[in-house]
Amino acid sequence: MMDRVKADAAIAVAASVLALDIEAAHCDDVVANYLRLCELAELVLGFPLDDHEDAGPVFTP
Amino acid sequence: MSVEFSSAAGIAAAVSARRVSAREVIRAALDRIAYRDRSVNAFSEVCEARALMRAAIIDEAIAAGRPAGPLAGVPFAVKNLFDLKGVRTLAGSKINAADSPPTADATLVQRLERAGAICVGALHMGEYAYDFTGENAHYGPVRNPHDVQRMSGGSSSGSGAAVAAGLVPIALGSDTNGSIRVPASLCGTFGLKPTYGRLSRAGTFPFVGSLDHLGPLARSVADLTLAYDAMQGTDAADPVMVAQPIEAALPTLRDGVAGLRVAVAGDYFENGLEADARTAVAAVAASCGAARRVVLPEARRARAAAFLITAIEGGSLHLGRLRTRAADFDPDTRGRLIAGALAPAAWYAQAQKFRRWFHRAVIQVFREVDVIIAPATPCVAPLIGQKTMMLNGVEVPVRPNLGLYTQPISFIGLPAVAVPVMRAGKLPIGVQIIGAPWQEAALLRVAAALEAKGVVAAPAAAAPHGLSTAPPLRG
Repeated sequence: MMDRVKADAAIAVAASVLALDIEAAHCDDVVANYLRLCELAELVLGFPLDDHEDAGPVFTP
Repeated sequence: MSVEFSSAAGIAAAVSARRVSAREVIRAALDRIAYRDRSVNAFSEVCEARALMRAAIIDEAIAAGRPAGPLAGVPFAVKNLFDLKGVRTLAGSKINAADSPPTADATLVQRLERAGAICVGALHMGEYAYDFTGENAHYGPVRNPHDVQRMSGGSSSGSGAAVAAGLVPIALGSDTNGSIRVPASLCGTFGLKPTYGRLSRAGTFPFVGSLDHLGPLARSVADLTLAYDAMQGTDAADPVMVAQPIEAALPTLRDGVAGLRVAVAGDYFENGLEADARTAVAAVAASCGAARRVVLPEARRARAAAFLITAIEGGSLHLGRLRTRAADFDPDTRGRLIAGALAPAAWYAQAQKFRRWFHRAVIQVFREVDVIIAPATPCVAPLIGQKTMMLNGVEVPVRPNLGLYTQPISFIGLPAVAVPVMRAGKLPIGVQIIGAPWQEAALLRVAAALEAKGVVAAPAAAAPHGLSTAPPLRG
């Protein structure tokens, strides 16, 4: 389960890799949104999928 | 003739029969926009010279006996992410104001104008289309014409409001997670989000390439269909377009619902509804004889996956701007895009894989039914500035939850028509009519049958206090 401390650390690392400086005034908002994405990712990652399921980003209905 | 709340079909017939000139129609539309949009704030730019020049061309064609098209002289406007030659494509942002204006129109604008329609301007929208509310920190909120204290819905906020206010009979919007269907529901208009890959997105500012759709909003099903038919056709300039034949929907529009198996979406789509939305779905279901209930499996997870893909693709798209101009983003957009840009790739890959699974599961449901009815929004338009609302007795944030029922549908590219349910004296609310891929014509047939029975209709928005319903007569 992601918490504020872990989220701060993950954001710092990823932002550094992407050369993205996050202003102090924007940090709380970014963390809140990151934690929300973590919750949603947990739901999606929790679904069992076959290795052969297509992950192609171009979607055809 | 009065242009206010006139149908596109009626205008085109009158212009073609020379009962009114295209110039008169456009002049009246421009006057109404100048007068009424002060209270609505739908337009980001009005293209008066362009529209009058185009009207002159239409009038010349008709005077010379040449056909001017099924939308002859019909004014329309586009969300300001469609390129219009000479008009900056702001996409609701402050940042894009520094960009050069485009040198050509978007494909769908060209196609509507080829059918005789006349573009009168560009419409406000949520910043970079990442919005369900119609609020915008840079340009102010687009106000709901039915109650200007309330949200228009977004992100095609100007499109919904301009049509509902009678400023234009047709507007174009985009729908990544519900951005046509949400404003259509809150503003009381019809809206079509076609199958992913049906209509060309060339010449529009992107948001989430793997989820972006474009489509029309209108005050009648016939107008929606006229616009849709005029915009069909492949376009090599959009890499995700599917080589699908043009399937004109107008010829079968009055064929009724006989033979169509109609069901109501249960489970996820029954939870979190306010009474207004529940009653609206029930009215549409009863009229269609939809006794059956179907479940789209894992719809909650589908919405979560759509959220992830949106944030991650959106964050990736805007990474350069987030590096250099983060302070110039709308505060309601910035944090979501930055968070998305920083998200692990594994989340994105799993969400895309799940998308394929969900698509397959829902296609199975469509072996049993042809049309599924679901709410478009969980509630009527919230107040501008409202941050939370009560759904099912739980306080939830307004912004993401307006798209509660639209996101799982666009996630797998299904076509859907939002229809406004008749509710005399009450705020509008819409219902989604959803079909299998490429079944737009059947959905429009259902919408037309509901409209013919008086179950759905776009209510005329009265002018707010201090404004009469019509602009003062000119000179």
